[in-house]
Amino acid sequence: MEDMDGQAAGQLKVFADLLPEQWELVVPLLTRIRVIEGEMLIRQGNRPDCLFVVLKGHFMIHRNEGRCITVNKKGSVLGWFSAFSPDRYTANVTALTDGWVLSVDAGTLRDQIAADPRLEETLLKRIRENISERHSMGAGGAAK
Amino acid sequence: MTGLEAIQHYNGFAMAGVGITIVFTALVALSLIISQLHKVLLAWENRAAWADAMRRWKRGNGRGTTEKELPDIEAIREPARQFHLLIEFTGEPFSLPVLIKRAESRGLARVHFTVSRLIECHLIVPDEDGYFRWNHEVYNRFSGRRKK
Amino acid sequence: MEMFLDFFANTGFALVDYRNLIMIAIGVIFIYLGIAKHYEPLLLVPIGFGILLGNIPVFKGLGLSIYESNSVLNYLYFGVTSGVYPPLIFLGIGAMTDFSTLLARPVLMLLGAAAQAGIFLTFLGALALGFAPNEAASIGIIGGADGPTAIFLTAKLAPELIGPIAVAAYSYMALVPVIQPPIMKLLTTRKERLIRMEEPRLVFKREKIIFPIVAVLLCCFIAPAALPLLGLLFFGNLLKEAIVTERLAQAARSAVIDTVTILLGVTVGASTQADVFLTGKSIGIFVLGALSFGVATAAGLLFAKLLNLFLKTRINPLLGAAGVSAVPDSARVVHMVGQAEDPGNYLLMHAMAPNVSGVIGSAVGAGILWSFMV
Repeated sequence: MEDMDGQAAGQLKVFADLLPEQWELVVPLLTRIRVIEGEMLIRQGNRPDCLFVVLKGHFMIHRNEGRCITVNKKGSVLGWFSAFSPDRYTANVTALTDGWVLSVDAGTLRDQIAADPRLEETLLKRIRENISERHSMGAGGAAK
Repeated sequence: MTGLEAIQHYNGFAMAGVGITIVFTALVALSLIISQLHKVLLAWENRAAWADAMRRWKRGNGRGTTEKELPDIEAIREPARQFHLLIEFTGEPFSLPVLIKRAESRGLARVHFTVSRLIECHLIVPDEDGYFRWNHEVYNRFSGRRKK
Repeated sequence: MEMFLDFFANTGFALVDYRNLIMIAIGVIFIYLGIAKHYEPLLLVPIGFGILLGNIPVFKGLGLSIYESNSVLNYLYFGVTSGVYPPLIFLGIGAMTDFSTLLARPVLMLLGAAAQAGIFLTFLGALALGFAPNEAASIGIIGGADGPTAIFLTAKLAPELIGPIAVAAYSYMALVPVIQPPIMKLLTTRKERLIRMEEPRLVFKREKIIFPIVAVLLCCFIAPAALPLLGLLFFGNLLKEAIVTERLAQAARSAVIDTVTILLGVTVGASTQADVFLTGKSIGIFVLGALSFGVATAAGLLFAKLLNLFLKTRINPLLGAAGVSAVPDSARVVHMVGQAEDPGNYLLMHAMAPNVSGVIGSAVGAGILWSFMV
């Protein structure tokens, strides 16, 4: 993982409950990526190859029909659906500002989840919390 | 008649000289005006702050207190006005991606960044259905207008 | 049989002479360049097709030729001879043009002014070659690299030369990528071509709205004869920037300009009838037109180098070549020549500033020449 030590990534809420051996498996899947304002990280309808965890920046999650929410909280997960299903992305994600995200290789993560159902449970719990937080902050309906 | 004789006969050198001088004069004058335009607008936008600074300077209470603040005020004030105008034109509630597209098609600068700033300043606020509204209350306070 | 012979005598096959065939070949070349080589297709295709229409030999008196007062083409041509089409094209150009880079660095406007030296030097050249002053002014304006401006001024000063001047202006505009690079390389050093430009400042919308109002008042107070062209150019730009008039701006930059371009292209092409076009004067116009383009490019480049002697932050002198107002072709050429030396050097955005100021400069120049001749 470029420019970010594993410990710092491990402190992100979404990974906080992972057991040390689970964390060992997840770390190699993480890449720190710089994003530029206006950059589209996820395109609705594309095959889900990765999910992103917000480190810094303001992002817009929007569906093609026009509804959207924005997130800027460190640790927010973008494209979480891809961790559990190889179906297509159900929303677009665009960066409103320059920022940094942690990219997670979704294909390999899905394989690891298939091999270890406890990993799915742990991650899903945190992601569910993450999404309900977004909604409680007044965000709209395109949350996937 | 050809050559220098023709040019002199028709007063060509004078016409060319005067012609290029007028073109230069027009464009130099225009460039001078537009080089000062943003400063004039900045001063106009912040006339209250400038007047205040001038008063303090005259009283000898120090000067330049507005210098640091002005760029920040200006940076959000002008985009806010543009987006307010655009939203008034397109109606509410609005879809944020659609607003961004419209703003881009009208040539507004750094649209994504500006939208982010407007959201952070609570000038653009989400409704319950995934659409957004312009916060008139904050905007009126922000732009110094009285509430209708 | 006699009827057949009579009919045959009125067909193009019987009336054609070699000059018509030459012009038809030129028309086909224009269409080819437009479609296959993508050289200004929106202009060369209508003009090329117009050349075909204008050079199909027709029986005089039937009201078919563009120069016969009751013909359909003549009615359409009225927009050219009366100078109606060029300002309408300027309206569309104004509605398309973003003056941001110019507003961010107004000093680049001077490059657009310098390039207009080509107009006045060619004017002198044309006088020296024996053209009358009104004709010389119309030929000189080719150096402005602005087709509508050239047509507008020629319609006012020397309507009989519209065909060759319009064809020369548009041909050289299409050939900007061929004409300009050698001059640019000749007059600049590699070190100069490598200069990178500073990022322009952010321009506020309000500046962009005020600019066309200030510009039209100032330029037309100085050169009132530029009013038809600059008036509509800046009006179009105001429609674009005002946001609330977006529908009108949309119409100006699509339906209006497209319709007028079709009518202008076809009728200018059709006006190049062999007997009017293939004359010694036309050859002189083409030679002077090429010269005018070259001089305009060189003047812009040299002035940029001169400016660098006084500026704190040096500008890339290649930008001077974009003062020739062929929008956006000359800006694109500047960008390409800059990138040939340094692929990371993005000059396009900066080159648009002298490019659009060249449009203003050439319109002012045309207004001045017009006022000198009346």
